[in-house]
Amino acid sequence: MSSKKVYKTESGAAVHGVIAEFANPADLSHAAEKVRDAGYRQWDVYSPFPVHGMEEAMGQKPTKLPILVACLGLTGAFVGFGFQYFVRHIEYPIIHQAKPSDAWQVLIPVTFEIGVAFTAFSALLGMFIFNALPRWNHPLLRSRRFLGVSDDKFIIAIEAADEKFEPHGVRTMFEKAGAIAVELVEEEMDTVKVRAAH
Amino acid sequence: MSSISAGSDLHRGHDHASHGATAHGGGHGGGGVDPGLLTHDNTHMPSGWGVGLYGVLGLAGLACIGLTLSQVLMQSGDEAGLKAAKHAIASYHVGFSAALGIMLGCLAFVLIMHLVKAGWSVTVRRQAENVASLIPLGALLALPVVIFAPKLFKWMNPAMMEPGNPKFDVLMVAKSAFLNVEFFYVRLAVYFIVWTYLALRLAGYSKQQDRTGDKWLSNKAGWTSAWGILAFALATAFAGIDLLKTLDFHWFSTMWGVYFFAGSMVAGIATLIVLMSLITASGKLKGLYTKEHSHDMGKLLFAFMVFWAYIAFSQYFLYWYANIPEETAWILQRGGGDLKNAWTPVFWILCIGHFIAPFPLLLIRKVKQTPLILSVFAVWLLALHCVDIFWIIRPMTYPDTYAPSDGAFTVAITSTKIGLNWVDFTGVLGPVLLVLAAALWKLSKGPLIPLKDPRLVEAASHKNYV
Repeated sequence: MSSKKVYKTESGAAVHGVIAEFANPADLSHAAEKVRDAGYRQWDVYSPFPVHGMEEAMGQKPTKLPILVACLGLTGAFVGFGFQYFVRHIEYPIIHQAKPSDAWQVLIPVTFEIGVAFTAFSALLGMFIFNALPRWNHPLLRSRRFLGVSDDKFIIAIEAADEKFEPHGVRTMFEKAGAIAVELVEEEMDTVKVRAAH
Repeated sequence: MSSISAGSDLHRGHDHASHGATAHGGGHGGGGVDPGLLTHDNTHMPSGWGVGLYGVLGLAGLACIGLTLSQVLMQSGDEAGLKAAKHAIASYHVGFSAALGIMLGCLAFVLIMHLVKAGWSVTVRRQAENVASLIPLGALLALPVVIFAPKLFKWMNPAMMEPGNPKFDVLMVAKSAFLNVEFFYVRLAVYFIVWTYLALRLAGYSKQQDRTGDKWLSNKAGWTSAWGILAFALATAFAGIDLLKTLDFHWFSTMWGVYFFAGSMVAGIATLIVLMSLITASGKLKGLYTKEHSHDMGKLLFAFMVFWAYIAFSQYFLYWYANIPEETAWILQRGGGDLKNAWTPVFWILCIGHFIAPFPLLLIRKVKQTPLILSVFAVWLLALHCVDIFWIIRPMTYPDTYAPSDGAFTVAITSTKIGLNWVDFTGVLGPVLLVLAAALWKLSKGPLIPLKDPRLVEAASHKNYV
């Protein structure tokens, strides 16, 4: 990545990427297929509502989240079981309500609960980590056009971080794919540097 | 929408295309489905398909039932003969209850899918309707249980109601307002009438829609299901109590109706999965029953398997914790206590085979998406369903462990043998195989899906966007 060329605008700001607006979900899907086939990796599609079939159009692989969740959920169940068993039977055995101290039955509800808790939290936190969330802001939000994705705009953004990124090539590809507008988006300004300049 | 009606009528050679589905209230269903999917070839089994399969299964089932019942009828009157007869009718009762569970599970599936106006399951629903409409056959299979009920149900012994008789049972007297022979038979009749009515009515709407294409029939089915599911729930819960729980009428469980339903639901969905994979393996329903549908059937199988485990454990756990003798007796007899007996291995087979082992495997998406692999799990769970019913019924009826109130409680909870013999296998296999054979016969006789269901288009384009 270090050899990657950094593109700058005339004002000297680094280029974050190029966004293209499409007229409707069908055009969006077709364009996504073209971007996928061109071999880009650092890109995403934005629309006001889920577009059926977009996963295939983008060539997205199934998420790895379920594996993480299953592993952590099982870990939680073992932790829940093991901790209780250790406390009740090994560390400080107690006969409680005439039940043997190693009774497995009494451990099940807490095992279940801890398993569920680990599962739920690993799903939530895993989703955040895989999506690189939370973050305060995103450079794309600097574009007025982009803000329309929460209303009526269908947008594809290719980031400058992509190995194949080249502003003119990307623009040409988008135009060929039927974009109704293409726009360059600058990287976020470093607020500390901006303040220092003033 | 306009090209569809032509598609669904393609194989009939009629041109209904000019009547747009939207133009008339009773327009043609199946709107929007690729006509190539709805060809006669794709939606019907080849004529003569499966005759050997269901023939062999059906004959085997009948032979098993015959062998089992002959054991009931042809025993000598001495004590050994009476025990053998009880053993045989108990085994038959296991098979009958397991087979009934399969049909009830499928009926519940139809009711639920109509009630929630499900689109994805339309291509599975016809098989569920087929199996559910076998419930009259279930009533026929119930006859031996009804006829030989006094051998099975200890509470039918009139001596229990006579003060002074050594068998006099004060709990029996207390429960006799509900638990008397006349009311028992009336209740059984009511259950079968409710189930039969619901199953035949819903299957009837669906078949009528095949002919007329009237989309409002789907709404009527929805309305029927709305009150139907309530009637079904009550009938099924009470049937579980009457057929299984009253075998030990001293015992009580507020979970019993749900437990019976949960097990039946697993059996019903497992049967549907097996039928659907037979269909896809024969190259039918291409594009109509895909890996997405298989995925969802797998999810349902998984969900009800977990539900069964949840209910079973809830019931067990409360008894274990409270440790009140009249409640734990039932569990102790079935090897669930600290005291090990012959039923302890069966108890663990159920825990592991019906929940722990399939749980992580059914989590895997590929397993659920591949009909053939999923049907291996379905057959496994069907077998475990039979073991479940066996575990419920047989400890109560095997002569050596007959019942606590016979003064044989200690014998019962320390029994070292289950006393398996061939009649246990014929008794269980008979009714189950017969019902599966009848389901296959029905499968081969008509369209494999509701051809003109208005939600067929949803099923044909069904995908799990996850």
